[in-house]
Amino acid sequence: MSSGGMRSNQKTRTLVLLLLVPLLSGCWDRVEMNDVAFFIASALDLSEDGRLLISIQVPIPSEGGSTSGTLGKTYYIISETGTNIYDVERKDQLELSRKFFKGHRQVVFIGEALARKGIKDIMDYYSRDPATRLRTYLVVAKGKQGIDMLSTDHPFERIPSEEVRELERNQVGTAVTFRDFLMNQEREGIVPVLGAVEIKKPVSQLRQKEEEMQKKNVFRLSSTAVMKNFKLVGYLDDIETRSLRWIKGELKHEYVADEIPEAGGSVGVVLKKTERKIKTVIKAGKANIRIELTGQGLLHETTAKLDISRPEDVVRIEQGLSKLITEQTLRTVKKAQTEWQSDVFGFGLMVHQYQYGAWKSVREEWDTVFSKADVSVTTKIRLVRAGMISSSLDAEK
Amino acid sequence: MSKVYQDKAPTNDAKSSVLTSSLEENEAVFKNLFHSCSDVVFRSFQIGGQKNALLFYIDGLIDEKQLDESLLKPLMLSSSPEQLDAGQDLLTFLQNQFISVSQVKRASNISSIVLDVLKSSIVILIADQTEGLILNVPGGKTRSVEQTSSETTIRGPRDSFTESIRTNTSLIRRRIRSARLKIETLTVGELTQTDVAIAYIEDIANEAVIQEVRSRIRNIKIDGVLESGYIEQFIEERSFSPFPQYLVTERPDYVVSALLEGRVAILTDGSPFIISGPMTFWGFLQAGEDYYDRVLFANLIRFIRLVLTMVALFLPSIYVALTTFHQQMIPTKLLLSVSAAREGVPFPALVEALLMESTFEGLREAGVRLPKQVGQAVSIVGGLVVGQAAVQAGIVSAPMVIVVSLTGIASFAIPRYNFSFAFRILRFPMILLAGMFGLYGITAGFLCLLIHLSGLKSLGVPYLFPTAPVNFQGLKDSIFRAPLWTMHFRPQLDGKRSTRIPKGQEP
Repeated sequence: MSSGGMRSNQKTRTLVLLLLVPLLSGCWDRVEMNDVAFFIASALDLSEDGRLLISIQVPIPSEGGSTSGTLGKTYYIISETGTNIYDVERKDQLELSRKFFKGHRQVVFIGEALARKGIKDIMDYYSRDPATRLRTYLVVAKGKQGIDMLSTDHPFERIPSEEVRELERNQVGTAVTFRDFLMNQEREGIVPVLGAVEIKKPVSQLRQKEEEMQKKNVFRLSSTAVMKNFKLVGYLDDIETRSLRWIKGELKHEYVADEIPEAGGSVGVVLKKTERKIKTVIKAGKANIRIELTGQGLLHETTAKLDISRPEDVVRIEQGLSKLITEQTLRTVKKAQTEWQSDVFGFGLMVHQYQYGAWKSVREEWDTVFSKADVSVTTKIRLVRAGMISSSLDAEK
Repeated sequence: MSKVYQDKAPTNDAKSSVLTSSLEENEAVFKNLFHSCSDVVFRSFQIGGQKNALLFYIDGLIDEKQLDESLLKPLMLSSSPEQLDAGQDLLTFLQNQFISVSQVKRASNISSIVLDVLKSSIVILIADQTEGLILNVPGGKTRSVEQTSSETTIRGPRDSFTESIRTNTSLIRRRIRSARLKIETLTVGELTQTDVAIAYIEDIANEAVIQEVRSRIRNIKIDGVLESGYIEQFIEERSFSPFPQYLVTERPDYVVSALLEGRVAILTDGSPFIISGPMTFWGFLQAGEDYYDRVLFANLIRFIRLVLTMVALFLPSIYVALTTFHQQMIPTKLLLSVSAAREGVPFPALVEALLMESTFEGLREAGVRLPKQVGQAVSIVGGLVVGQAAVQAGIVSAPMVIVVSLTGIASFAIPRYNFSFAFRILRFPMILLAGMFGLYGITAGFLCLLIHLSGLKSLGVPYLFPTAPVNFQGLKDSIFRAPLWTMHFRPQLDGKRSTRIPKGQEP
């Protein structure tokens, strides 16, 4: 009986000890939502004295989600300078009554000045820090400081960086996240790029109060920043970005509109099923790159005289379009070859992956090999539909 | 027999004694037994004007009209007095020729006579006879068969069980017109002497299960049984499991379907609730309409019900876990609105959730207890004051009110009322776990729950049957229901396979 008593006593003791275990762990992740300051976006800039200037956009929750309908200022920005990111974040925490939380950051802007100086040191912290999401978009503020992007009031979104996130998501321009950037940085034979955003005034200011509208701006995700060795070397514009994405195989559908002299007018076409075939031949340290682009086009607008039932009309447009695309693509590749000697398209990567033997011979001087490579482009666009009216309104029957 | 429940009344002394041939002595014995029982009626009379006789019964339990018409009248006016001297054959003679009552028996043991009187019989004692006649003439007021209020249905039979066990057995028998339907009666309760009937279908129900139920009920020692819940709590396997192990229903069609599936039903006199087992987890998630409605809709509803069951268990805890541990998992815009709504709320999410859930359970309990007219007021005050005003006052956040209401609605979607108790209980430990350890805590809690469920049995049948152990035939009627004509076999609760719907009936 006494031994049974002992045992039950031991049992209770064990139970109490077990119940105490949860209290012993020192690290508790529990944090109330109201004790957290969410970083929605940050901007990294070079301060005037050459130090790091980091600005952080924090939404003010009480107004951001209210149903009252009036859109007050829904965020605020804190800025600090420091020797490195961690130093700045430490200082930021001193200004915030709440613990900062980076899990919801959508965008990190990089000011042009800093991008030109190089972002290598920054990337070290962001790839090391577990709180930073690798899916955060990395965007260069074209011709501006990153902080200008944060302080822009946007007409749609209450928090402007939301807008940039949405733009990136739309897949119309170059959208690069930390993950993509770091991956391409580590790869051989490709130079990483970043999306670049400009600020633009909206045009429809006519009936608005002038001074209020002055503050409103829209973002324009148009160009691509070429980051050679972590340094910004230049931009590709919107047409060049299209060529870049087509060659990289990222293009899903695209709007092409231009003057086609062969057809005798301008056309607007939606391109679908865009495909590319790239063949690189390396011979005696010289590269020969052949690019084949194909796609289907849906005609949406034309000023050319077109009768869809006449194949020669269609072929004229198809050929004109193909020629246009070929020229644009060639121009883009030439620009990358001559201006920056940077293989942003990843031709080298493909050689590396598919012809490793050849790659070994050129890997050390790929930049030079690429810049001197012979590039030929052939494009085949096929028009498959011409909208609701098949022929132009004044087409001769 | 245990002495605890023994009545101190003279029943004890009369136990072994029998009737004597003296009517006066017998009368004295019974009058002594029933002293101070104002509802017992003693009536002395003469049979055919010659033989002294005594008749007694309990007022209100018998049909007095029948007593007057079929007993007193023919006996008192009997016109063949010479036959009455025929000695011992008198009782047989009376039984055969004068007493026009169907259920008649003879008894000489005083205690059994007392028991019969208490169970709505009339006793006739005749001078010089050592046996009495016991006539079963039940009557008095019982509730009629009405529509059930606790288990409403849109399509399906509307009748429900009553407090009278006879009515209840008849409701079942009317639906199963087979001699294989057996209804055994036992008596439980030293004082209440409640009839408890075990119903099953021979050759379909497992004999071992019937034997187990029988012996478990026989072993119950209690002074009184007021509701079938008493029986359930004595015969269930695990009293401290939050999950019920028996079906409790007021609806005859549920009981009949359980019987047809080889389960055992236990009817308790005085309770309209009939318990049935063995039951499984999936069985508790089924409603009669699952089979009455056409297969596509039935499956949709069944799936929604399963989802809502999970909602009832996990929603508040997931909300607490996400808002206090895993803010990354909430979409940014939702996060901003939730954090805006939580701005100014003084309590942590865990306390807020516990507070609101307790309030909701309180409201629900108050609504059940209060008279119908006041119940309306409670729901208005509860809904408006607690919901609206508390949010406006900034004591609780609006998302929490939404979460709690959704959880409440979800718990009402669980078809078996006693099964929803399990989720209402488990919600609270889940919230606590979520508040302390986040999703990790919820997962750990869910694992513990699964372990418990896998070990639980109802009358020897695994609770998670047919999913664990897997039974492919049984899976046709678990999360989803196959068309009726494909469910060829009864649930193989005891591992045996018996056909209920022969193959080849596809319309």
